[in-house]
Amino acid sequence: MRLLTQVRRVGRGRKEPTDWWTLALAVFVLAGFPVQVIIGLSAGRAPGVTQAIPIALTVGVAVLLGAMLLAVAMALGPVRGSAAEYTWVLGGPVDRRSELTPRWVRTLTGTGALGAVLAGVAAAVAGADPVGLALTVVVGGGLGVTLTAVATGLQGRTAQVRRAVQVGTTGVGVAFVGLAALLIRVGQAPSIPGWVVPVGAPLAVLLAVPMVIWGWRTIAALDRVALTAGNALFAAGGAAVLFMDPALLGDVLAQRRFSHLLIDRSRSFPAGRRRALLAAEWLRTMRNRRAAGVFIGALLVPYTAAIVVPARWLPAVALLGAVPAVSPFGAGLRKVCQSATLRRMLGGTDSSLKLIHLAAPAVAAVLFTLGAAPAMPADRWIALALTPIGVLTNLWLRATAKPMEFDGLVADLGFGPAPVQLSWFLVRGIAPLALTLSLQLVI
Amino acid sequence: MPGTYNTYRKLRKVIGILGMSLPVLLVVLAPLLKSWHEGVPIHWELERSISAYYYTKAGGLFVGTLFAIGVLLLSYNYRVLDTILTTIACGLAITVALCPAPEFSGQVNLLGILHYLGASGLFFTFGFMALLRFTKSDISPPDKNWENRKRLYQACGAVIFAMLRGRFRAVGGKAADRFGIGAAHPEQQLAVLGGGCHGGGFRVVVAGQRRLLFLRAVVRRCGLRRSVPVTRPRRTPCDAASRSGVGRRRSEAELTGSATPASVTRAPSRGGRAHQTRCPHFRGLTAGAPAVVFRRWSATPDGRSGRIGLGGVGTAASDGGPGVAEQPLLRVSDLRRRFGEHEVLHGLSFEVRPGQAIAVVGPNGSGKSTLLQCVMGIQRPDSGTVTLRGTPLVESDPAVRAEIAAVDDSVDFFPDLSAAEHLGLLAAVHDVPDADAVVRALLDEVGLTDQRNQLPGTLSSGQRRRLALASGFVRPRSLLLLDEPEQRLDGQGIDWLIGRLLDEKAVGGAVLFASHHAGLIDAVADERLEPAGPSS
Repeated sequence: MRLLTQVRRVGRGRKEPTDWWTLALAVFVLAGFPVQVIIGLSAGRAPGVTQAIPIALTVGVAVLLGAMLLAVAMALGPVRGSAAEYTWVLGGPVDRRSELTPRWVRTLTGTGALGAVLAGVAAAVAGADPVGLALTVVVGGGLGVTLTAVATGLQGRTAQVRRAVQVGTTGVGVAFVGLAALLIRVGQAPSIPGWVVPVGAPLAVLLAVPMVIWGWRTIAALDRVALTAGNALFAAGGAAVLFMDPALLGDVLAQRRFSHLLIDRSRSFPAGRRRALLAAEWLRTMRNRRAAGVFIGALLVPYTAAIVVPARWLPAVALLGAVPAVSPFGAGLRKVCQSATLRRMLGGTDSSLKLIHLAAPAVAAVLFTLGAAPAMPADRWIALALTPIGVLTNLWLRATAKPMEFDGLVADLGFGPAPVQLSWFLVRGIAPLALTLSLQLVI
Repeated sequence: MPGTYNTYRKLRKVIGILGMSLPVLLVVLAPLLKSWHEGVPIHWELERSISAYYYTKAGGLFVGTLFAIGVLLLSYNYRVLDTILTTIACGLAITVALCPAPEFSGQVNLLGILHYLGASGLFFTFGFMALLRFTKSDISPPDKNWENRKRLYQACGAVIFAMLRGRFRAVGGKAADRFGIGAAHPEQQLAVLGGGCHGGGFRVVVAGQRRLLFLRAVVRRCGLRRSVPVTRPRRTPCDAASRSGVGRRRSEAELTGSATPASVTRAPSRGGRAHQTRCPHFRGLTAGAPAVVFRRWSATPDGRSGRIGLGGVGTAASDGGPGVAEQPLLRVSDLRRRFGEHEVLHGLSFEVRPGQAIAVVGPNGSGKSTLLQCVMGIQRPDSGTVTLRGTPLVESDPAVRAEIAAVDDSVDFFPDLSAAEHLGLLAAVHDVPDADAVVRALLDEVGLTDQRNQLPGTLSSGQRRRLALASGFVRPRSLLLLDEPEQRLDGQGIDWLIGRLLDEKAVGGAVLFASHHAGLIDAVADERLEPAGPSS
């Protein structure tokens, strides 16, 4: 105790008086941003009048969100063990279920809590009463647990089964969203009836029970491949979060994506430098079928948002949707920018190579903007026209970013040392988006 | 100036407290003022709109707080991260300020004005505090060095300003003198190091041992070459005398560049293709199929490279013969490279002529790859020059890229193009006629015909190495740079490589390669170059 007291005393002595209010200010400022966004969104609707959200749209968005979370969970495991752990612990004569169950329970608890919090926040934003809020929390928690349990059950199945489930859930979600859009167009979109939440809460719990049993039974049969498949992605994701650099995750994702790609015949390229590079870029774009899926899915975002978001915000929504839609088309640009070896091999100037590889994302950005235009009134088209500029600037600045430097210049902004290059690395992609978004809202 | 210092400190506290409290007050008071402005008394259950307003505000605050705390918990050093966050927050605050709440359209936008004032308060607070922190010394209590430090800051500013005006080389070295630093401390240099001190901020250190790290970083970031005379400390006559003794490594001949270091030795060359072995694995040679040989780039009368077209397919030199040209293609003079305290390259000088092959040999860590990377332009030497046809070699120059084909461990591929498509793309962008036939022949030659449709990620390491080597041979070139090309090649592959490099020499191509393989070196190299390895 004496030692602990000494350590605490030393720790107190080291703290500077500015630390606490700096922390408080950082929390306050960051917390203020979502506050203002939520205020703006809620106030955008007529005060006191809550616009009815069609049930088909709610179901579609929920299924799509679930499909996305399920895909993430299946990619990571969700039950995971390192190769060393498998060799030295799980590979031995131990009961695998008893070894893996504690961590699985922790995962279930975490995802259940996350689902409950998300549902609670959504209910609070929608202005639910306390009883409705509590029931929504139960629904969210139950769905969170169910999602993890289903992913665990699928972890023991073949890749084809997992793929089929993933495609099926995504298709159902897209179908519901399309149905909602159709019903809204014809003016026959029923809103969420009041009995959905009271009935859904026990149903979510009832659904979670068999799924948890299924997952628990699957754990004992998980082999080494199933347990270690997500390690690379998990490690890359952890590194990307720790170093705040999404590019660390991109390479692993690209490797996973193209490990399944089969090419029946190699294509030849036309003579001429620009024509050959453009043809190669076109070929790579065509092979990235996921890019088209993401593009179409993101294009639905402004149409969906048009139902619940004021028209003033729609160009901003389109901008945020265009970022993931255009990003896959910038794979060639990112590769050329990151690899000096490739630039040396391909010859020419760096700028010419980069500009040629900017063509595909530029076309995608323009197509996205044109595709999103019917989702909003004509008086917002001027603001929408800024979307390609913001997205391409964002893509260019992210692609041309040099590797993160942790030993660069340090400046003082008044609250302690700030790494200048590190800060610029983190904001260089966000800054053009924030600027474009601001302009879109001002116009 | 202790009085000035204390005033700054007090002012900074006042501004800090105001800067923190004012936005808080504004945001807290905003709904109250809004209600007052609209004439609606504040009551929790009075109206659904007011209730929903607070409801969403509380929910947003909860989510935002969770988010902020989560981000902070992820940080191993919150002192660094909080500043990053506040920096980002400034941008977000300005963004919010530019996005006034839309519910007041057509009315007095009181909330928007308050947001704007709050964000402005934050912005100017940060700006003022940065300014104050920059113009005062926060490293130590005020003392007699205060004025001196202030001059140092001003010197830094002058250097940056001069650099921005493109006159760094001319003015940067004089900046310290202009502000009295150089005159007061002739043996000392200005070094600006970032962070790590109490209170943070630019740490200014006057120390003779440290170089102008800040200037180096700025110059490096701007893509300029470092100005050696500015960064190198002055040498006194005493220093020169001490360096002329036993510890001296370079000879006078090395200094003048008139001779190569003593480690450069002639190696017995095995010309022609007598050494070449037919192998079943590399079918292009086994079946007697002709190897693809291109004519090289040749010098135009003005000394610069010019393209004369590509030859067809042949098995022997069509021009130039096995002889070595007189004019050097590549010239390396007094090349030095240090890593910390270890100098890896000690003033290397050598030349590579068309039709000549030089092998860089030596044990691991002796600087072979470093030398090749300096020649490729991947690394910048600390001193010395590398010229190609008499012109300083700049890696990003398209003419240089057209002349040099380099294959080292850093060879990269597009993950979504097959092996044949990679070679086809390289052939197309370098305007190789009949690219498809050339690619087919080369794939057959390196034994990758069956893997022609495979992506690089699905090839084995040996197959990737063959593809990398093929990428160097599929395009026209004057100089071939290879870093341990024998890696992951089996015996038949080595034989193929020997034949290929002999062909390269025979048609007038120059080769500079690092290798540990005695057979490859004996068969191909005309000279051996051995960097001396690191020394402290």
